Amino acid sequence: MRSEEYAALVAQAWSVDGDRARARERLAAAIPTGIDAARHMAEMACRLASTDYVNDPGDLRILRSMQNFYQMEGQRSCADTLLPALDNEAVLLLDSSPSPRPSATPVPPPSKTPLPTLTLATRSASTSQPTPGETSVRRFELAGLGVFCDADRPAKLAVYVQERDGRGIAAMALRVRWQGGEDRFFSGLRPERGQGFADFTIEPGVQYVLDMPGLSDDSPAFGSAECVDAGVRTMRSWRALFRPVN
Amino acid sequence: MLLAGLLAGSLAGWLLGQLASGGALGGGRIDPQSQQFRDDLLVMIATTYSDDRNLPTAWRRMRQVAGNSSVAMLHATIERFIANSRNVQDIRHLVALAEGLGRLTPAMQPFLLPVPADAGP
Repeated sequence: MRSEEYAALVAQAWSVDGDRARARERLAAAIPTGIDAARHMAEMACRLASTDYVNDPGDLRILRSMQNFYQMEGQRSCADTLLPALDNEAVLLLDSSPSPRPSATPVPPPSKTPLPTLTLATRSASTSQPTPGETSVRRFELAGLGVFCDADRPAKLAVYVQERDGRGIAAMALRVRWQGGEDRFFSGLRPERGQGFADFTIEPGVQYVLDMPGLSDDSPAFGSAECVDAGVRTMRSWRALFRPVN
Repeated sequence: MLLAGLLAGSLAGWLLGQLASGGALGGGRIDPQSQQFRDDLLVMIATTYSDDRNLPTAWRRMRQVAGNSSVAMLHATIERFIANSRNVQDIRHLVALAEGLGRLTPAMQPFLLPVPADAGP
């Protein structure tokens, strides 16, 4: 096994078990004495980020784990600039394996995160937004759907609606549906998170489908489950990215 | 003599650099061929498999560690871990991998992990 692959494996295992000391020990045991483990991880991430590794969604996720590991110890790497520049924290984890459609599951009360009261005038105030006429005929596609584990933000669906150049698009309607219910929400109501951002709290044990009503196809079904963030057991969250088809 | 010393030093530095910055694994205090190291590699492979359920990747990594003896090595490792009361979470991950490969034995059954509802393929 090559050093890069080993470092990637260590980071991936760390992202699952959350045992940082164990990850450090694993690295330290395998590299020459005197080389800092986090520095080594940063160099391996740089090496992988320089290859076509970043083109594979699964491998990109591993690379992000490597990045988290060395950044938490104050290290930097060329991977920081080589990784695709993503809007805010929207890591794109393209999910090419559709999950099962929703089945009979308990119907939860919709629990959208409380939002500040804003009107859809947000959109017209933004110079970066397309005109209503443009968006009304445009189709959108789900360009990314992936999980993340953050004890500070458990069981969230974070949605980003963006132009193809990465600019956020406000005031776009989004819809989540589950067995026996649905709810709608809009991008741009939390401008501090970006014009194209919207979020929704998901209930554990429930399968959801996301779309932009009338503008996109349905997402694969997704739901929350337990995960570990830095040793803390919490609930998985999801990120989704919509972009215009053309 | 001085030239030979410089050449030897340069070569040693280059090798150390290769080990530190990429290339084949080695140069650390643990032997990559040792059982301890291979055990831990297998645990990491199984741990990541328990999370992403990516069997092709797990299988590719296993073959890098143990070649054609991958399944036999996995079984032997699990049996040894159970017999020696090793970390139960590690055993559960290893057993999940054995299950994914369709190679579960009765002794492994008590260590099966519940599969998350949204686990991918």
